[in-house]
Amino acid sequence: MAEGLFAGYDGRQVLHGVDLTVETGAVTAIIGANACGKSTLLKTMARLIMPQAGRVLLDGESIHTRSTRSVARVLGLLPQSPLAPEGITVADLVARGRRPHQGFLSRQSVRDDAAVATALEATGTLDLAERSVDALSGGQRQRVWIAMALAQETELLLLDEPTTFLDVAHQIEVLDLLMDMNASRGITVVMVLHDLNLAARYADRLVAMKAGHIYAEGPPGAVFTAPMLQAVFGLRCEVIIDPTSGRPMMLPKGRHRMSERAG
Amino acid sequence: MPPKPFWLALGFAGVLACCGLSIVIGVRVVSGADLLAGLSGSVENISQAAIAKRIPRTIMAALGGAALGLSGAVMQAITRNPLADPGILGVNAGAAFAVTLGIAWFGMALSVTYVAVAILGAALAAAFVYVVGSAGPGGATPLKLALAGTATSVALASLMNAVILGRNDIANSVQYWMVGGVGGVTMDRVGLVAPFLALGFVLGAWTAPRLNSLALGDELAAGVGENVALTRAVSALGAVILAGATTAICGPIGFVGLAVPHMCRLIIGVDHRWLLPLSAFGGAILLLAADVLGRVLVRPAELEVGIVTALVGVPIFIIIVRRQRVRDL
Repeated sequence: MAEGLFAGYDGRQVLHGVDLTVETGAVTAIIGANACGKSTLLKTMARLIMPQAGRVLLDGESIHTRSTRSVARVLGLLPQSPLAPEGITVADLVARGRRPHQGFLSRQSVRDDAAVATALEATGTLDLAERSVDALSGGQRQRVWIAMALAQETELLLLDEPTTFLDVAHQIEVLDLLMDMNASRGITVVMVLHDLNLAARYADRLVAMKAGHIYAEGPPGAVFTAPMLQAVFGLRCEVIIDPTSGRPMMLPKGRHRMSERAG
Repeated sequence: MPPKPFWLALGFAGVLACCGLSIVIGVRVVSGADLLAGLSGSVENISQAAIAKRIPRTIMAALGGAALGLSGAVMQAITRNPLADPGILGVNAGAAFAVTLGIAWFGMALSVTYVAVAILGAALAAAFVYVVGSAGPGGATPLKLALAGTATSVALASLMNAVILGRNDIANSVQYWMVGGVGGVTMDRVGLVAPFLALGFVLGAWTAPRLNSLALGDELAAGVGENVALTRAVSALGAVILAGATTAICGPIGFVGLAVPHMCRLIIGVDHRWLLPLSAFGGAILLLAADVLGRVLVRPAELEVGIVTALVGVPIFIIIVRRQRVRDL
């Protein structure tokens, strides 16, 4: 999907030649140290940033030359900090995800209503529908944003750190929700994740970035190794198999609190 | 809470009612017979002539109020700034300054150019205030924009005084116009400004669903397929045309664009497809009511409408600033 991408902000180049193909129907997690370019990659793939060189292809066509509205019918985006207008209800906010499907007069159609209802139902926010978004907890609010992205009915969903600011129970809840969407609707998910163990547990494919390049890419079992983490994060760690998921997980090694056995 | 179409219908009915009051009530008390005669175009006595003069004034107050209310609502949306208003952001002052310069230095007469010059001045002032207000860390915060706009307004007002100083030929009329009002408006002037306002209203209608997307943040707006830069540019153009054209005829009228959208948001919510038309109706109602009030408060003299809207608007401005959620629009 991404071909030889070079991109950045205000003349400062962040991505130095990234090639990435997103596997359809899979959950892909992008990991990497701060400022390695993972958010920039996601934003460039979401057409928020125009690449200095290279192309982002969606169904074989450059995303930056297609009409932004036609892209929005295929590709949904949840940025890191979206804004909720003061006093808006959950149902009204979710309905704004229908925008790319609406014409000039933008009357809400029966199809729009159905899509909103389905999205509320799928995210367990149906009983919040008439509540004001301001009054929701962080976890509820994140589910509402995901509901909005679902109402957009896209095949592809890009999320920038969807679990930030959530406690661990809500992090699991949000990721489980995304897995449900992936399983039941076949939505291709690409997300930037901070928590490495959650990334290794939930993703079908991991993309590890370092200094504007892709350092490693593949299924967690093959990619998520101690040498990779050492190289990408500069962190000594041990990788073991997580007994609950059978996926790899890492235990960081610091300079303190190390038992004799761990060496 | 009644449904949204009800509020919109009520708003429209309110505009019509205020138009009626504006024709019936004046400094001079007019009998029913003269009222009807005046409405049908007769100017046989002073009362009938007064009615005939009130008609263009009423139309201008309704159009201008609607333009200012809509302009304020759009400005608040594109800057995500609850303090945005064509008065506070210096847009009206820019239009007024441009017109004053045109009259004083180029002998500009009332014409289409006159309105166009006002809009140009409004646009330049808006751009200037935005650049100054965005400078420094944090970008264009609500308070920085409001400060930049207010400072620009004050500076332009002093410059305007400097320009008309010693120009006794124009000083009086310019100073009278600077207060902001619809007294003395003729049908010619309404006709002059109407096409510009019509364009502004059309741009406002185009912009309404797009502003809903913009309210979600620039990134998410792009995510749902909105062209963010285009939406901002066209919306700003529409808001500037509405405010500039109104200022050209009525002078700078403050606080309508600030107060009305906030009240309408409380009534009808944050969906711009409803908020923008209701803000237009609300602005018309406020300006018409302020004009009528100005005629009866200090009989037999008249209070210019700009003074009355300031009296209504300042308390609302203070309430908004005192609320903690100034940043959260």
